[in-house]
Amino acid sequence: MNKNTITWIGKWTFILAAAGSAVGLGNIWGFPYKAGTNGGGAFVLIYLGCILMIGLPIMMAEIIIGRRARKSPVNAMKNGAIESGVSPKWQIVGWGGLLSGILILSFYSVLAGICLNYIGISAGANSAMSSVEEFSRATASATNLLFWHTVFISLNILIIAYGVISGIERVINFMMPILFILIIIMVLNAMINGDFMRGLSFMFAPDFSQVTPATFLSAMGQAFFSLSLGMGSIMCYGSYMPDDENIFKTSMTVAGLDTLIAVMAGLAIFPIIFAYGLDAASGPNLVFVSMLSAFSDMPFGNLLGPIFFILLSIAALSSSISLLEPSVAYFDEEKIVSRPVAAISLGLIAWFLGIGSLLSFNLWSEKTFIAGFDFLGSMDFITNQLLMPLGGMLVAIFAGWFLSSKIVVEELSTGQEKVFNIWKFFIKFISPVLVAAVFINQLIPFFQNLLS
Amino acid sequence: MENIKKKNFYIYLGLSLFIFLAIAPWILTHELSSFLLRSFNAYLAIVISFIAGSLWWRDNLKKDIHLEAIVISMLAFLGIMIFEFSQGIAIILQIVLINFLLRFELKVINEDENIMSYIETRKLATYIITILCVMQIAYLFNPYVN
Repeated sequence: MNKNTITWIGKWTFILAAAGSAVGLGNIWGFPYKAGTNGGGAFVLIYLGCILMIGLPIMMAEIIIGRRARKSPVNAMKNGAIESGVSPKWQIVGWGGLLSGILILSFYSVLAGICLNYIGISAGANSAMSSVEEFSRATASATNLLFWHTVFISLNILIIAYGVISGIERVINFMMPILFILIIIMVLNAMINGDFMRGLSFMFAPDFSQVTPATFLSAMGQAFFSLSLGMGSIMCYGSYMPDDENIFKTSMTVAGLDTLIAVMAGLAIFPIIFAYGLDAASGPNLVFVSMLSAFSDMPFGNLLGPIFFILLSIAALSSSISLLEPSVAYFDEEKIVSRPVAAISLGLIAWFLGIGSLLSFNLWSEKTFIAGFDFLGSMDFITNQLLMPLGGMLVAIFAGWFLSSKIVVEELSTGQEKVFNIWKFFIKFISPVLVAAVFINQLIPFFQNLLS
Repeated sequence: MENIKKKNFYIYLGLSLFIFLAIAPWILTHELSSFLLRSFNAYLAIVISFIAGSLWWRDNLKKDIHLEAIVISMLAFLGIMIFEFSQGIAIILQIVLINFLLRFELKVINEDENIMSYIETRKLATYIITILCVMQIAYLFNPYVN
């Protein structure tokens, strides 16, 4: 089991790749709504605090463990444990990450496939069209969903199979600048066509009367989930990070970019929603129903609509490749199969599981699987509510209590003693407790459901 | 090198005022906003003519560019006058000038390793100012702000 010698070539690649992994559908259609309905600027402030207390320490821990070992998450955790003189069984955290990645990819690809489908739908949108009916039509046909799901998974397989440099780095360096340009275009469109002042006030005007303990839990959850932590993606990308890159500064930049894009997405979406008198919502309804409805009435909507859905598809693709890469990297480094074969086989597993999720929109919409959820909901429950917070919590516990300080000091650049002390305090005492709070808070409805 | 660092610092400092002037109209009252839009336009004209003027005494130029620099400066100030008649056209003129000035400057200065970081900052600043100008145009056309 040799150390991986592959490192990102570009100076900005890690930042772009990690930001691409973090910026996905979740924070584009989730963060702005949460901010708007939880006290606006007050929520944003709490969220930034949570990023510093939860997101940043765990992200740094994942990068440190990954870069130290220069291996996939399973072997990186094992390597970290052995080097720190503790049981190599900590590699189970890496296995959890691999499993989360494949499971999330399976249903994420279905949602991303709908985004791809909507590029064409929005290009032909007109004011006579009902966006609710259009969404029902797009999701009612299992064949249609299967087609777009297959297209999206194939893109992932293709990119990963080409390798870290020729595949992932090349695509990220091409896609991320496009994502920034498209989001700027969408914000400018919201400035011209939307009720921008109301959008600004919805997201930023601080209303501390709306701040409750639930707001803190919501902000903590958002800070944790939006950075793609606890599923091995950042650890895997960290293993390709050059030695001379400053982990603290890089992590700050990634967290900053992730927040910036989420805020810009809100500024692109909500002014339009308010201007057209639509319901401010979150999740798929916001983009597939409300936004389509706005584009069908908007000047140049047939051009702006596809731009918006291309933007969503790029955000989804940059995240999904980071879901598949950790497991492919493991199969490749263990020489179980070659990288292309690993990408195809693991991609096929995700594709197969995704069929269950796409059927949840139509044929299996009445069927329940786990905790009263349909198949897609069950997958979401297993990954987002169990595996990811558990993984994040265990990474924090491992890094704070078991990982040798010598490893951390060596991985952080010289002259970063103050950073090390602050990081150590947060990762040891604060981050695991806060992630545990998020974890328990997410499980309460499940147990309430079970008991009733 | 120290000189370039200082130059970059001043570029960012100047840029921060542009960002303030571009964002503030969206947040403040409409009466104040029209003053801020006017200030943005005037400030941009001053910056354009300052950069064009500073090309006069650069010692690393490939050719004499006095006339071009004067024309750019005068057009920038013409933008302030046009603003009183058509705000949109004035801002579009400034967008064209700031981008033309960047291309012009890059064309006439001698490539030198020492000024690479200055060139990068200068390019970035120009692109950001262009986006801020488009934001100003958006403000003028947005039906919900008046």
